[in-house]
Amino acid sequence: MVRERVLNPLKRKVLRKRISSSETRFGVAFIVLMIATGVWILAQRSNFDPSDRDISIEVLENDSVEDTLYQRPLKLWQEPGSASGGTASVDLGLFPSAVLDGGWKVDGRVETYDPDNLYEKINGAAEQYLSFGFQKLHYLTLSDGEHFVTVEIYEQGSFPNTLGIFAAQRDERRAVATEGNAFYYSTPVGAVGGMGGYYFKIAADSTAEAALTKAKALLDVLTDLPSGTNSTPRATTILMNDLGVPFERLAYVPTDAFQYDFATDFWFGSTEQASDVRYFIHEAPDSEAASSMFGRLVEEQGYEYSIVEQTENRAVFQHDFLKTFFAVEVSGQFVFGIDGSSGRQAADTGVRKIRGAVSG
Amino acid sequence: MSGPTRSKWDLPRMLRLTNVRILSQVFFFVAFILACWATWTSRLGGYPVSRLLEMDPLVLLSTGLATGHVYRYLGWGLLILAVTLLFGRVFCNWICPYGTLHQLTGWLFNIRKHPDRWKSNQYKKIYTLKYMGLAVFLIMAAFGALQIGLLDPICLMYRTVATAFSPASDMVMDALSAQTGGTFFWDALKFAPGTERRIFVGSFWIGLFLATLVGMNLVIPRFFCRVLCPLGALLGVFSRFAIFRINRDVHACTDCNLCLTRCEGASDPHAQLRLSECFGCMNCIDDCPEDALSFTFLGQDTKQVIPGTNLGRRRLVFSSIAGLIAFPLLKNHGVNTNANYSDTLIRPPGSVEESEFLERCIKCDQCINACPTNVLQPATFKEAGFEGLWTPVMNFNIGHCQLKCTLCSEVCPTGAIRRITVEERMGKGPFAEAGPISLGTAFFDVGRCLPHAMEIPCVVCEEVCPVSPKAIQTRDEEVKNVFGKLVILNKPFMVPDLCIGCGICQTECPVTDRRAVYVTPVGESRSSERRLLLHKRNRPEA
Amino acid sequence: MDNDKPKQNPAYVKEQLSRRSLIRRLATVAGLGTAAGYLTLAPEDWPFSMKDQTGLRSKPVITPLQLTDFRVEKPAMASDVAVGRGPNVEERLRKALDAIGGLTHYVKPGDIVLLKPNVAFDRSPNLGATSNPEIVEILVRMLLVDCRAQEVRVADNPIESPADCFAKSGVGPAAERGGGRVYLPDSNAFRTLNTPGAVLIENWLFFHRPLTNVDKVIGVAPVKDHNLCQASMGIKNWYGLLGGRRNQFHQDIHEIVSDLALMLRPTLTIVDGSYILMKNGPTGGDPSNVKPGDAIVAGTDPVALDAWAFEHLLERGTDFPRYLFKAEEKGCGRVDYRGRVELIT
Repeated sequence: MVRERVLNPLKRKVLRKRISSSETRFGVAFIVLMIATGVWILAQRSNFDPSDRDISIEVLENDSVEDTLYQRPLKLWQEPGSASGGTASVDLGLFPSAVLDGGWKVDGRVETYDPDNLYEKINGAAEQYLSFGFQKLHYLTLSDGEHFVTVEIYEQGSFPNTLGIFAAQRDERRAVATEGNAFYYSTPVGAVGGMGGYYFKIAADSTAEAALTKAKALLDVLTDLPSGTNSTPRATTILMNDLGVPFERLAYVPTDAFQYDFATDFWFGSTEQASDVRYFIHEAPDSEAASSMFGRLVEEQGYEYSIVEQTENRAVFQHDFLKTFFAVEVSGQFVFGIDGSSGRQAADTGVRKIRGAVSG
Repeated sequence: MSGPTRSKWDLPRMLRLTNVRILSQVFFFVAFILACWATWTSRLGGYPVSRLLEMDPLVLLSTGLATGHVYRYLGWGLLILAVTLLFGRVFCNWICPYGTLHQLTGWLFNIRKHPDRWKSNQYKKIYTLKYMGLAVFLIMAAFGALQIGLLDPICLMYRTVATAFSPASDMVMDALSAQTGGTFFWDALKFAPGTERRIFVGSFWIGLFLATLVGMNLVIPRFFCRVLCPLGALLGVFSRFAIFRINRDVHACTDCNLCLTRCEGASDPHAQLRLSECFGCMNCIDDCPEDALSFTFLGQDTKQVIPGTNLGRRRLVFSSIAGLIAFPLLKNHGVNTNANYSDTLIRPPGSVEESEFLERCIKCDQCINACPTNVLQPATFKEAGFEGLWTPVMNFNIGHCQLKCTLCSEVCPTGAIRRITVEERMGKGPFAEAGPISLGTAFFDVGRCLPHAMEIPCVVCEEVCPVSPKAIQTRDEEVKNVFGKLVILNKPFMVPDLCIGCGICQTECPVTDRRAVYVTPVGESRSSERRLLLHKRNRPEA
Repeated sequence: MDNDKPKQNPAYVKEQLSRRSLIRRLATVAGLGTAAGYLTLAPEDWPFSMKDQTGLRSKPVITPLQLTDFRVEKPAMASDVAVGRGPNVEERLRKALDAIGGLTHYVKPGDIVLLKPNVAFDRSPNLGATSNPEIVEILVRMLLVDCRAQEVRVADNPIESPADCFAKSGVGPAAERGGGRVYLPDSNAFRTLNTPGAVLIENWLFFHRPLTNVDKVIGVAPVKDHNLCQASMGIKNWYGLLGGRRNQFHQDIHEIVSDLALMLRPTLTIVDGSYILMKNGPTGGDPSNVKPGDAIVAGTDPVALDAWAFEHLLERGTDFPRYLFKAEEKGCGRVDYRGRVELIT
C-alpha cells in the first residue's frame, strides 16, 4: 500500500518583513472587542422574563370556567334474554327485568310516549288520558315466539288521577280486586288496574293458556314498580269508611265535574252498584275557596234545576225533567252533597251523613 | 519595523492580522456551537441564541423583500453590512462558522503542492454562479417564495448541527458516559441532556448535503464559499464599495504569485484585485516577500481593482428569468395549498398562516433544536413539498407539543413562528376572546382503537389530554368480552371544539405504528381557510 | 527598511484614490447606512419604519368592500309580489312583472344590470336544478331592448365546473343569445365583502367582479327541494355569489341563508315555477323529480316571495323554513305575504 499523506504538510510561513504599528493596535482593539462581546453574551443568561414561559395562577383563576360537558352515564352490561338467543339486550326502562321471566323476550323495544306524541299511539283516546294528568306511557310487547302480551303503563302523576282514569274507563261488569297497593280487574285477555301514579293495562293477543298465564304473572311483577304507593286523600277515607262506598265505585274527576269548568278536583262515590245516586266531595284549599265553589255551583245549577231550599251554606235542587234531587252543602273547606237522589228525604239523609263524616 | 529579528514574544508578529483573524474565527465558531448547545430548555435563559441568524443580512434582505417588514432583531443584519461596507467581505473569513469549517478542512486536508496550489486559487468564471443563485433567490423572495435557507451558510450550518451533528455527538457522549459510568460531566457536553436521544426525520440527507459541500473543498478549495454561497454573493455585491481593501504596490511587486498560495477567496491579489471575491483573510499579506500588499484605505491604487461581481448583464438577465420561472413552478406544485395540503403538515404553535409562513421560514431549524420533546422535525417532501423542505413540522409519533412551551416561537429569528406567550397559546387573559392556539384536530381510527375495536380497556389518550375540560371524552360501557369477562370500556371520542391539536394523544397511543388517534392540521387556528367548525359549541356567540 | 530595493514595473503610473472621492464614498456609505438603520431599527410607529416587533404587522391587511343597496322603490299601487300564470314563459314573466310595476320602472336606460341565475350544477335545463334558460334569455332581451340597459351581466359561482355548468344548463348560451355577458369566476374574481349585521359572513370572500359598477341586481332562481334547509328559492340563490370554504356554512344553514338576504338586497327577485324540483334537491337529475308548473313569481320582497313559493309551488304548507323568519328578523322582508301577493292568470 502506498503511503499517502493524510494531512497537509505545508507549514504556515510568514514571508513578509514589515508589520505596521496600526496593525498591532487594531489587533489589540479587536481582541478587546471580542472579550467584551463574550462577556456581554454571558451576561445575557438571566436577561429574560421567566413569566413569559409560564402562565400565572391568577390568570388561570380569572378565566376559570366550570366544566359543563354532559357526561353520558355508564351503560351497564345486560345479559341478553335467554329466549332472545343471545341477541343484543334491550333497555327495559321502567319495566322490572322480571317481566322477561319464563322465557319471554321483548318484541322490538320499549316504546315511550309523552303528552306531545301520545296521539301517535292512541289516536283519539289521548284526550282522556291527558285530562287525568297523563305524563308518560311505557309500552312493551313481550313474545314467547308464538304469543304476544302487551303491557302499557301510563304515568298519571298521582293516585287520584290514576283512580280517576281507572274509574272512567272501568268496565262496570268486572269486579275490582285489590292486592297490596294495586287495584285491578281482570279482562278475558289480561287485566286493567292501577297503583299510586301508575295506570296499567295488560293484554294478551289471544285466550291461549300460555299468554293468559303470562298476563296474570305480569300483574304480580308490576306490583313491584317503584313509587306505586297510594296516597289517601281525606275524601276517599270519608267516602269509603264513613259512607260505606266500596273502592270500586269511587271516582275522581280532576276537571269539569258536572260539566262545569270551574268544578275541579271532585270525588264521587255510590254505595250501590248501577245506581245513579252519587255522593260527591270537594276539598278546597280553605273555607273561602269552598264557599266560592259552593256559590258558583248553586248559581250554575239554577239554570237546569228549580230551587227547593236555599240557605247560606246549603241548597237543595230538583231537576226540571228528571225530578231527581241535587243537594249541596258547604262546611269548612269541604263542599259536598248528593246527586241523583230520587227523593227529598233520601237526599237530606245522605247529605246529613256526609256532614257528620266531614265534621267528625 | 526593524529587520526580521525574531524573538519568542514578538508582539507585533503575534498580533498580525492573520492571527487576529484566526482568533476571531475560533471565537465565532465556538460561539456558534455554544449557541446550538445553549438552545436547550434547561440552558436557554436569556442567551441570544439566534443572534447569528438575526445578523445575517441575507435573511434581513430576503424576508424584507418577501414580507415588506423587518421582524424583531433582523435589523442586526445591518451590522454585517456596515462591516462589509467598511472592510469588504471579511464576514466570510472572520465570522462565518461555515466558512471556518471549510477553511479548516482545506487547511488540514488540502495536500496540493506548487504550482497546483496557487493555480487552485486563481479566479475562475464559475465563481459567478453564486451571484446568479442570489438573483434567483431574491427574485423568488420578492414574490413570496423564500428559499435562501437551502444555501444560506448560517441556516445551513444551524440546520445541520441541530438535526445531524447534535444527535451524533450525543450518541458519542452517551457511549462514553456508559463506559465511564459518569453522567453529569457527559450531560454537560450533550446538546440535549435529560431526554431520550433525539431523532430527526431525514437528517441523513441534511448531513450528507453538508458533508458533500465540505468534501468539495478537495476539488475546489472553499468550493461552497466561492461558487455557491448566496450570502457571500450578497456581501460581494456590497463589498465593491468597501473603504478598506487589499492594495498591491505595483512598484514593489515582483509578480512571483506567492500571494496566491493561500488566497481563500480566489480574488487575484497578484493582479487587479477582484474586490467582490476577497474574503479579507489577509494571507496574501503574510505571503508577500516584497511587502507589496497591504490592507489599507489610504493610498489605494484605483487601477489595481475590479470592484464588481463580473456577473455581466447577460447572466443577470438569465438568472432573473430563472427566478421568475422558479416562482410559479414552486407555487403551483400544489402539495401545500389550501385546496390540497398534507394531513401531516402540522406547524408549531405561533406559526403564521401557511403562505405567510413560507415567506418567512429560512429552514434554519433553530426551533427544531429548541424543541424539548423532539416533536418538531425537518419537513420532507412528503409533508411540505420542495418549497417547504426542512421547514419545521410536528411529528406526533415522536413527541407531542407541550401545552405550556413556547420555545420555538422564542428562538425563531424571522417570525415564521411568531413570538407568543403561554397566555396567548392557551387563550387566557387578554387572549380569551381569540381562544387557544390550535395546531389541528385529533381523529380516532376506531378500527384500531383498543376499547372501540378490541374490547380492551385503554384510554391513555383521554388521560393525557391536557386541556380542561378534556377534548377527549368517553362513552363508558360495560361489556362481556370475548373471553366472558365483564370489562368496563371507556370508548373515547373527540370534542373538536376543545381540541388544540397538541398531539399528546397520538404520541401516547399504544398502537404505535399507525396510531389509533392522530392529529391532522384541519382546524388549525392560524388559518381561516383550514377551519373545521363554523361555531365552537363551547364558546357563546359574540 | 529596504529603501534600496529596485523599483519594479518602473513604467507603471499609479492612480491613487483621491481624498475627495474617499470622503464622498464615506459620506455615501454613512448616509445609506443611516437610512437603512432607520428603516430596520426604528420603532414600528415611526414613519417609514419597516420594523415588525410582533410578527403581526406584516399580516396582510384586507380592506373589505361593501355592496350598495340595489332596491328600488316600487310604484305606489303595485303589489310586493306578483304571480303570473300563463301558457308560456314569456307571458307568465310579463304578467308578473307588469303587476309589480313593469321592468322599466326598476331598470333605467344606461343601467348596468346583473342577472344572477342559479347554475349550481352541471344539469340539463328543465330538470329543475338550474335556472330556466328561457327566462334568462327573455329577461336579457327585455332589459336591453325595453329598458335600454347599458349592459346585462349573467354570473354565478357554481359548485361544479363553471364553464360546464353554464354551457350544459343552457343558461350561458341563452344569456349570450339575448345579448348578455356571462361572467365566470376565477381566482381574481373574488374579494372580501363586508356585510354589517351578518352573523356568519360579516367579512367573507365574495364573487365580486360581475358586481363592479353594477346598478341593478335581479335574482332568477328555480324552486328546489333542499334536504337541510327545506327549500332553495330566491334567497338561497345568493349562495352562488359566495367564495371561499362556503361548504362550512351547512353547519348553520338557516343563519347563512338569512345572512344572504342581508348581504344582497336585490332590485327584483324572480322565482320560476315552470319546473319545480319537488324532491332529491337541490341536484335532482331525474325528470320524475320535476313538477311542471305554469307560474312565475316576481317581487321586491324576497322573503314574502319565498314564503309564497314554498307554500304554493313546493306545496309544503305554511311550516316555513326557519331562515325566512330569521331574514325577517334581520329586516329583509316579511314572511306574512297575505294581502301583498297579486295573482294574474
